[in-house]
Amino acid sequence: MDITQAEAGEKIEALAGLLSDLFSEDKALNIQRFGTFSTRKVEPRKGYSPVLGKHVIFPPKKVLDFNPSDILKEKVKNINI
Amino acid sequence: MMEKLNTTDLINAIAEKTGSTKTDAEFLVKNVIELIEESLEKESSVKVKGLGTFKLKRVASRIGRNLQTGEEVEIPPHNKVTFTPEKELKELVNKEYEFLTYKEVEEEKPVASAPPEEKKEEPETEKPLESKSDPVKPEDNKEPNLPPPVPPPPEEEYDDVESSRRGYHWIIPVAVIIIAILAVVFYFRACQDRSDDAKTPPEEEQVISPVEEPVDTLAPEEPVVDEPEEILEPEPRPMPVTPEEDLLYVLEPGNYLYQLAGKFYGDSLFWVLIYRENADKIDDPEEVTEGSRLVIPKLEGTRYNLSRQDSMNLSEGYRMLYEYYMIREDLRTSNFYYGMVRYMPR
Repeated sequence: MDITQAEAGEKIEALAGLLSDLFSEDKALNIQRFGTFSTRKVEPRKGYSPVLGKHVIFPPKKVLDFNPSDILKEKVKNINI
Repeated sequence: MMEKLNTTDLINAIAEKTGSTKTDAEFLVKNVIELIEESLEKESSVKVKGLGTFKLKRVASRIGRNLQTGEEVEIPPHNKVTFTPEKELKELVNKEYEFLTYKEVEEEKPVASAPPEEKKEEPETEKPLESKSDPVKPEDNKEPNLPPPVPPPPEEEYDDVESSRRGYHWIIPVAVIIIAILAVVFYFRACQDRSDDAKTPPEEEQVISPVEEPVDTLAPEEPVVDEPEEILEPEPRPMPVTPEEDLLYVLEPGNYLYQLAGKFYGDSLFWVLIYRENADKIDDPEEVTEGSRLVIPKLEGTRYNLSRQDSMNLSEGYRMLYEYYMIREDLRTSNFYYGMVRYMPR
């Protein structure tokens, strides 16, 4: 597929946009041989906020996780960084 | 249950959304993924616009255990892939909860009531020195025998500044006069016995072992908010237990750094000092592990009269925490920046 740099950029952005939509809809995505993206809820927790100087309850939140596949893990295992 | 899509679903979705053929969509996905992997292998880090950053992180070797046989095996050093979503994507995913903020906890521990006071005090710690130490200091110079009676005055001055904040402006001149009178009285009636008497209490308190209940933290704090009438009493009030030298403290369950700072320095904001000294042992400054052995560094000066080195250490502590929170994109980062600048010696 011969495309210009601009077109490639557009396509990647479109892909990223699509992924964002999926994740915001709470969907998990498994890409073969690469890994799995999934969302996870972090429960509210008690902690100390040194700035407020108080004990506070941190609110629950949703985060996006990426779990690399075994194949990817194996690939990068022994590279010199 | 979360709906899980696979590569085929993704390809179909792309084809549908962009109006391209499935072959093209598959080509795109394949290429992008390959590109990410390649860059990861070569550059060990790749940023995908609109998505986030993939990075390789080195994991040091450690001893693990074979779950079946129970024997110990060494897990060799290796790399692992980390993914940090972009800020926009992070917010998008968290949309459901974005309106939530911190909620204060009604704390059963009495210590929790101390920090709010401290907040108010923060900007004032240095002021008493500039404003009104003059009536005391000259006398100090002339009478080297007199150092013990001097500790109370700083607290008195401190009270003044505290209350002036709340609008009692008339208190300042009154207090200055009282301090001046006290200074004169001390100067003329300086007798060894009295100074010796006054000397003992603070020393006794320094012996107090770190095993004490955290409740004691409150004791040094309360006088600060006392009514100004207290000024007239010449007897020394409980001073914070300032460590004579670096102490080793074993954390008990439920200890927080700010509590220790309150106990040892009388100012829980000084917890950054403890953090600075023990940064290598503390993973999360808000959640220190019980049983850790922390070094409580001593102050060269006093809480109200910091030496240059103390200020530098404080500034350094704030700087380390500033970096700690900045990496985590924490909203409180700027507060540590201000702390760092405030204590930076000029």
